[in-house]
Amino acid sequence: MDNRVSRFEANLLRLLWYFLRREPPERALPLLENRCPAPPCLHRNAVRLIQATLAQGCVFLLAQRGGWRHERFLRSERIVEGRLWERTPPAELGLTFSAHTLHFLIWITAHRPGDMERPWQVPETELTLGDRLLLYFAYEGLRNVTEGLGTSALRTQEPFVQHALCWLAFPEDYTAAPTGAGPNFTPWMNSTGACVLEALQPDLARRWIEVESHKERLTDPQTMRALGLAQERVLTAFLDALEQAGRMDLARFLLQAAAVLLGPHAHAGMWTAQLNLTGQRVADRAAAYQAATIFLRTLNRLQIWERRARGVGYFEEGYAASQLWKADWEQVQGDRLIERARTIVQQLDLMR
Amino acid sequence: MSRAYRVCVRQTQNCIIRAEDHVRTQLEILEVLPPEQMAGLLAEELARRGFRRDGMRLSRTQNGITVTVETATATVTVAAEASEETTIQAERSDRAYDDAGPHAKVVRENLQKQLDKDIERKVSEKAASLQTKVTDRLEGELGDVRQELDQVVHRVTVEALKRKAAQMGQIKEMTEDPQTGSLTIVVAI
Repeated sequence: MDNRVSRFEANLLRLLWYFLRREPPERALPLLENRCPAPPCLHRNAVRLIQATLAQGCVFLLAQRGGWRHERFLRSERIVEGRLWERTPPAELGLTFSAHTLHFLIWITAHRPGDMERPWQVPETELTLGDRLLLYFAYEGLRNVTEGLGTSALRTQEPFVQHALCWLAFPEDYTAAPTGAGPNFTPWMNSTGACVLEALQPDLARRWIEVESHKERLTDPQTMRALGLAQERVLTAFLDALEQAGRMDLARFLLQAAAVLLGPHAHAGMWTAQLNLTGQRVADRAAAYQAATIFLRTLNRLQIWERRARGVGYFEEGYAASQLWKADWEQVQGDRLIERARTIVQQLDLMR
Repeated sequence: MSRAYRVCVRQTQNCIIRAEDHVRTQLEILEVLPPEQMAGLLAEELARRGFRRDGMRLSRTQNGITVTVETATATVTVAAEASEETTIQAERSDRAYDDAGPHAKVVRENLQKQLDKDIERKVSEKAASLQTKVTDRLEGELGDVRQELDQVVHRVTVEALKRKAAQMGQIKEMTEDPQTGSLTIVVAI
């Protein structure tokens, strides 16, 4: 089989491998820094290699990130246990990639992420689930190494500005998102989209622990407020979508993050220790504290779900979802966590 | 021999400076009775303490501090504001080579720009000073407001418990300890 490809195609493949964590950043960075003129079309060999890489790489990464874990999740009104491919037949876990994926790969090989002369803009709603997943992995790879190359510009425009998974995993990147644009969670709430969210639960929990832990080092109240606002936007949209879809189990990572953050010695300083509020108005101080505790306040909503779940009877709709949420809540000792969260919120309430 | 002319620009500006500060919180009202009844009890207790009703809101202004309570949501806003009419004067001078010629014009224009900045800076300083006063006043009053609101919540809870007890049966005995705030109700069912 002839696997020869042109220089451009080799660069493109190397970047794709980097996005799928098969190449180290130091090999991808020079390719992202240097522009390489795009050819009018790609050779069949290259397209075949891209297809094979996408097919194997995305699935491998999903399995590696959390799909391998033996977990319990909902499958149409019943609780199913096992690894991701045991909970759902592999045939139903297929991902579809559209031409947008290929166009994105060509664009990122030919341009820098921040190139504004010819930006890559596609309406988020036109993307397939495979496209969205690849963009998530690509964004994760880009933000780690190329903040200086203008990755920040990507997230203010379509499709990244509406990419719900990017919002959810990296809320701190969306502090400057336009007011009108928000995350679109619809594709992630059912069938394969929900399976992807299941596989990424450990990643999401780790990210929220990172974001919340980082607050301890924030000094600028404005930065804190912007972060809190972005977190509030994504959490509200996410929890609304989960409620609508009856998939509370997909919010498990929030409980897991809370369990790590709200240990027995958790205190208000872990969220606001370095915040410089000297000379600030009371209103501004209160707003900064409120932003710092957005995640902790969100736990109230999760507790409301648990209280509601207690009242759902065996023959009622949503029984399995309720049972699963109660089990998740009990596993992390949710009542204890919410008590600690409330104590911290109260400590930071200027009226108390 | 050329002579230097002194160009002087003076400006006086009257302005009103406003400063505002506020803090918002939620009263922790136990749901002893249905929410609308608890809201009613809260409104009654606030009215007894001199709050004036305006639809679903009750508010009171004391010592320059306005406390507003939305009874339906038990949201309290404590706000302080102040305004000050002030006259700001600024003066700048420089030298020009002519009296009313092109150089004097340029110098005057530059001085005017500097003067605008001076006035802007003075306004900012006055605004910051007034803001500090307002914030300090609000902070000074917060303790008393907090204490009063705690009392309000306590009274509302006691009243709600009495009504709840009356609904459950005949109240035989009721003892209230003002020191500890505890209430004992004996009900015959």
